[in-house]
Amino acid sequence: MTKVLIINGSARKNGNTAQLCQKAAEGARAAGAEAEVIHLCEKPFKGCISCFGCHLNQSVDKYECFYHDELSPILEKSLAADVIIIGSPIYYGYVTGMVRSYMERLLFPLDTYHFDENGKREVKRGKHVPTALIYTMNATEEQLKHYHMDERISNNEAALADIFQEPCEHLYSCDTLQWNNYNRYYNNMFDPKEKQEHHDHQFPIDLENAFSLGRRLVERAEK
Amino acid sequence: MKYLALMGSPRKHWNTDQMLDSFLEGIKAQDADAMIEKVYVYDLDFKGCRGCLGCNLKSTPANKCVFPDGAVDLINKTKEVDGVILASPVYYFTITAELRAFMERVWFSSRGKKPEKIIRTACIYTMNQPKENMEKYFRKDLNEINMFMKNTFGTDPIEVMSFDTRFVKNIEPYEMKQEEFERKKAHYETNFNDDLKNAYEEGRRIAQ
Repeated sequence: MTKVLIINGSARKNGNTAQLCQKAAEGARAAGAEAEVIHLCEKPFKGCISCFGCHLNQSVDKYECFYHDELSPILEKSLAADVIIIGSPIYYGYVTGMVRSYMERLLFPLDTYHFDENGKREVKRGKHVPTALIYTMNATEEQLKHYHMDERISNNEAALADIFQEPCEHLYSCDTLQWNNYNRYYNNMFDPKEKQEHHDHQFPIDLENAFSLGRRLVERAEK
Repeated sequence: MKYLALMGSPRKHWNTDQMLDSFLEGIKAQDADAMIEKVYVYDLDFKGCRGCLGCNLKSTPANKCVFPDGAVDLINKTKEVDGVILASPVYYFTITAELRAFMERVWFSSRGKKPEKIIRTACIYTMNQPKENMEKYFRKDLNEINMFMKNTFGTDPIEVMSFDTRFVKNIEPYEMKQEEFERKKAHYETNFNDDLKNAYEEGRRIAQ
């Protein structure tokens, strides 16, 4: 059975990102796959510590990060997965630090400092894994483009596509509802009514898109 | 003057750490009374921003992260010192995950309000890539970090870089081509001392 791993890279376990992750899992299950959602915030772990254990000569057929901590079981599941979907809120124009910690430790052990005869960086493992990033953000879609955030975050997609040798898709969920009660918080940037209306209209569409994304990636993996 | 230096590489005593130390030496040479606190970010027990939005509550003063863990005091201290220095290697196009996790909380808790005083800033970046690749692939990412520093602290950071770094001392155990290792080694021997010297001079400059 096709295995789908969905990583919730938000610290909120029931927030917008988490809901989109759950929907992607439902989509994957609807396509007949086995899907699990993991909340990164539940485990204490750090990013790559540059021990270079994964780049030793004797490690060319070792795919797992050499540093063992509470992320290790999640990395093991990631390597066994046929589809990986990562959900992240955008913090300061980028995916969260927590997602970067996970990605550094997932990608670097599969990566090498070797180039093939065509000048392309060699990847250790031959397995093709369709991947996707689901981004949630307070920014509107216009702001995302205007500030070139889409270009910068696409570096993460490029890295996943290179290492997993399959195009990486993305889903943007913009102008999200951050709070249930805007009055409690220091801001004059948002109109709570507009935010709520946008959420009521747009978020169900984003959820549907997440569902389709989960389903589509399973179909791609099984092709 | 008080300075807080955030060492954002996991590797103690390696290139980034040495660049930072040299920068801090420059500060001391310029200002013998400077008080410098250097922190190894990877030694702290913390995570990135939880999105608790506690800092955005009206009842919370600006520039206070409120999540109680092993980093919160240092996060809040960045707004109290006279200078903040970041040092990080570039991992997949940007600063390390742990430094980013730390800085998310520094930036977000500022709530768009600068501290009462001007705080001097510097960013030290080390990378495996040569300068051309930095320009081509992640200049814009590093600019973004510099911009957040300016937005938060009110000053453009002094930027110090070291390119094409040597990151292993012996090639034997590693899956790396001999000629590439030799090239890196030669580059290191020719350039790294100059990079350290440059960091020292820039350290003097921030303290002027």
